[in-house]
Amino acid sequence: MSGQMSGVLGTLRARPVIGLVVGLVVVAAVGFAPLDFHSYGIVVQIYVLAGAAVTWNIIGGYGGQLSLGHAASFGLGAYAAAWMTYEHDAAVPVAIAAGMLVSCVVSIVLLPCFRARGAYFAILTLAFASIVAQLAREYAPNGNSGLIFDSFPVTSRAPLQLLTVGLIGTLVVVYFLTRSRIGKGLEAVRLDLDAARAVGVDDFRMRSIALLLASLLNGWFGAVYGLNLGFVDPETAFNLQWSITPVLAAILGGTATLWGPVAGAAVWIAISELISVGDLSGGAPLVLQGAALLIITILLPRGLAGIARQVVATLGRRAGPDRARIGDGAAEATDLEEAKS
Amino acid sequence: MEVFFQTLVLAVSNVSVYVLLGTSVSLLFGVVGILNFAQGDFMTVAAYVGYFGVATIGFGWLASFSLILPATVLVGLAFYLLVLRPTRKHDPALVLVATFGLARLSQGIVQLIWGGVPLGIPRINGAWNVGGVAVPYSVAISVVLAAIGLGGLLVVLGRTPFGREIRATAQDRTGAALVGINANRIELGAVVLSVVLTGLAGLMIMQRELLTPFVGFDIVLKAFAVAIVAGLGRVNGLLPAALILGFAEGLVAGYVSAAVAEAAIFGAVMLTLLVRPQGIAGARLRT
Repeated sequence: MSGQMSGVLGTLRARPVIGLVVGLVVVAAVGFAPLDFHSYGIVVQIYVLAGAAVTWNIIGGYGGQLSLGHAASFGLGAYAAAWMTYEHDAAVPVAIAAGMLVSCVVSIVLLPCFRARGAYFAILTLAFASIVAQLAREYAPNGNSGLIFDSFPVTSRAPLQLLTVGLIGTLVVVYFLTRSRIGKGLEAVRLDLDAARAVGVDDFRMRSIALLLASLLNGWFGAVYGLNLGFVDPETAFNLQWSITPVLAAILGGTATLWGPVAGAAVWIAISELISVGDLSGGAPLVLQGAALLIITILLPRGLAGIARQVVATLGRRAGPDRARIGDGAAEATDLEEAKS
Repeated sequence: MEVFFQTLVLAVSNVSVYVLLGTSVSLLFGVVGILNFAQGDFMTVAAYVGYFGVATIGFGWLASFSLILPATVLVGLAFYLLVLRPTRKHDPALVLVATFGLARLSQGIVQLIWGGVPLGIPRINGAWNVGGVAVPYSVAISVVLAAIGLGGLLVVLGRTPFGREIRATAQDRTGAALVGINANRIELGAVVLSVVLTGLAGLMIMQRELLTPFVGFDIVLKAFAVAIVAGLGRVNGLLPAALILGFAEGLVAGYVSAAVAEAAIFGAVMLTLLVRPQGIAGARLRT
């Protein structure tokens, strides 16, 4: 039995592309399947969160910088798309493009913050998101009341399809990013900044590219989210949730892995649904989030991917020589960091 | 001109909160090496415990501190044992996320117990009139509380054996252990001390504004800003940093807008990190 599994694993290790394609097919299948109303809603939630988590992972997981300001790019995407629809009656693709663009351009403000590391960077990103939200409350069109508009007919499945396309596209981008020079540079910077600099890796450039890419893509998900809701106001668009849940999902699934954030998003939404407390405004969701974050970071720092890796290692011990891959980088990284401390 | 001074006077109560919270953040960082996102929520809990004392048991405002004090000690103990100790060997980024989780958890619990509706206690009203500028009594009270907090800490750090051991551990944990200091116990003591300071801040907040589960978290970023500008881990720079940031914030908020004021503080932090990362007091940075 384990011999058989080694076979499958052996193939996957030799041709990671197969794993990618299989995964993408699953994502597409679920995204385009004829789902009942309830399931549709859940998949939408999962795909939005997965998108935000995968894009966060570019900065946070692969980039190694804890960003707590992801809500800014998400909310900006939502607002720009909403504004284009509300004010200019823009077509959906134009609105989404506007969302991505605004999100990316505004995040340029964050670039100087990359001089800061660790906790300082986290604080700066949180502050950034908080200020963007505050500015939105004071200066956004229609201010706090928000914008109401019509983008999709109620029964349309287009939002999920757009999310699916976005998720597939993002995953493909991340896959090739990690195998590109920039991806290697990011990994080097993440594992050992001084060594990376010593061999001439421009860490500022690497991280800047990571940030711009992440905000650009997150803008897509924010835009579709906003268009799907038909209503956007500073409270929903820039809600702290959008900075926290992607981080939670990414850590839960395994940072610096391709599918970790997706898995984490699915698990998190499933948990939220199970413990579903119909009243979303009570303290219960906060308690749930907080407890989950605590448990995951204290007990499961490598997330599900870490667990999976251990399972695979135990089962597939006869799979043959290990080729170092980006996925393994995450394990080595945490080992290095643990060894350093 | 009067508006100018009035704005400054009102900003003083902000400065006081920043002094207390900033000190507590800096102390924790100096000894344990982490920035705690839940620090503001410790203040929230303290304020709500105080509220409980006043509204439910019937204590006076000041007397409610008799409840707040043990509560903060307990919170500090729990925080150290349940969160800090297990994560000692973790990647610092994960610890940050953990404290974030703790913050959310705390907010949720507070909301479950007391609800999200803003709550308030009967406050001390009235003000002095100093040359046309109103100086509320509550502002003076906040200054007194901040002085007690900061002053008390300085006395403890500077004049007591406990304080000396804290300073030693903050400077060099291994070295301290080598000379016989029980670093774990000192850490615990410093953590509890820092939470007690947030308790004072909570007492202050009860007089200042209505309580919501997020009242602490909303301020915590500014507390970080003050602590960073002051120089993390060093208590000396705190008063100047709090004064500068508090007054700047008050003036910008008064003359321009609150959002721009926040952006200004953010800018100040960025500037500090880029130009003089060790802050006013010149702390040794732990990244």
